[in-house]
Amino acid sequence: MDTKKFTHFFNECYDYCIVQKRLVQFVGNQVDAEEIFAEAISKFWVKSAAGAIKHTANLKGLLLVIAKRLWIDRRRNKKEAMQYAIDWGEVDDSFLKIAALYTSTDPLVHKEETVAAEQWQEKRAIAFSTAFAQLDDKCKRLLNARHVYKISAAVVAKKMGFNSARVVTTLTSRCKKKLLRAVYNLL
Amino acid sequence: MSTPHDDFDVIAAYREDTLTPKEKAAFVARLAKDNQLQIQLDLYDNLTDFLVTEEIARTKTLTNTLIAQKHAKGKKRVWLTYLLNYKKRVVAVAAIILVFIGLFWWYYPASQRNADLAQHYFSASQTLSYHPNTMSSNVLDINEKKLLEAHELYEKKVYVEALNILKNYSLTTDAAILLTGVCEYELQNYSAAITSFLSLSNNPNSDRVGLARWYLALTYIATNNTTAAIPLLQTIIKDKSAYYEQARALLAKLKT
Repeated sequence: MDTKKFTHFFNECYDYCIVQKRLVQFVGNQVDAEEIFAEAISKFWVKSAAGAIKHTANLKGLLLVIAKRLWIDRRRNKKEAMQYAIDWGEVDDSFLKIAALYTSTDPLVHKEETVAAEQWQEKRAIAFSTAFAQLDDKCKRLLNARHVYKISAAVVAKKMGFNSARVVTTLTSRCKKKLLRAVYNLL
Repeated sequence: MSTPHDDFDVIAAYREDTLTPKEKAAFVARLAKDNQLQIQLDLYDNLTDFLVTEEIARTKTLTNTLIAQKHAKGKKRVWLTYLLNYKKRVVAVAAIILVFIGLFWWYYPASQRNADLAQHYFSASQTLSYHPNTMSSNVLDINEKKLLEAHELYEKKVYVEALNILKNYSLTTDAAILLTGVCEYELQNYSAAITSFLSLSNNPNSDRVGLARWYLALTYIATNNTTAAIPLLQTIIKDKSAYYEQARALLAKLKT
């Protein structure tokens, strides 16, 4: 990631959204506005650099819209979670047995599956973060360039000083396997 | 640390579709039974998503650091931030304004400004509509300043000193000649006054002709030369120049 470019973009957007109170007024307070702004700009920067967002004019305006949508989504999810959330710890097993009479799936099994899936997701994410942090800098840059920012092997070779695109492809493949093995070992 | 056996090479070949049909069939059959292989395939397939999430998290950390720096620096004023962030725009606007000012001064040269100033100055000689102190000293050259000084003295009825200034600085503009005449008239030096007024009233290019004729008529009346005054008053009425109303009243009075 080009930190200098990002800092410049950040300054422009921060002034537009936070200093000039556009997002602060929408969200209601500075702390939440800054949090949602950080999330929006991070997603926007990574995804637009990867070419997922095709937009070249008024980027800060677009970022403001994205931040607003994220805020709306977050509010909506929070509301839904409050309405339908089940705290499994507080549900008595006898109730689940009664409920099993009325449902096709066993609530006890469903409860265990849900918890297990959540734990697995969490474990996987932690393992991945740890493994990625252990990778050498070259591998990190190569994987980000090829998989996150979708830069062609020829361009990466030119930027990072490799002899050819083939070298980049081979190294990326090795780094990818190295990372996957590290993650797998941690699981 | 011991490294368990993994099948990432085979998985990569499977996803890149480089396995032979036989190998592929064997892999699919194994995948249905082998839980560890399923996990590895899941990791392989979700690698890009993981990398994107990780990069977003890293960018978010950087963003939070930048926000913290902003907080540490303290809140800048919005306009100052604007100036700093939009330097190019500010410079462009300043340049446009400077170009307009330059064009204005180019099309409106100093001589023209002075002429306009003088015209404004003696648009009605009996009332001075502005005072030298209220004007920028850069705008007026030294003759104009002296002329204003002389007029101030005239308004204070210090005619002799006003005349001294006008004569010492050899002020030869129409406004200066008119003021000289008026001062001479007030001092009852009628012959000198007539000379000044005549030089103006005989000059058709002068824009003080109307005023000069009026004062000349007054001077003639003061010297009991009504025969010379009447045609002058008639000309003023005909031209509807300055003192038109007064000229009509005076002419009616003279005729009776």
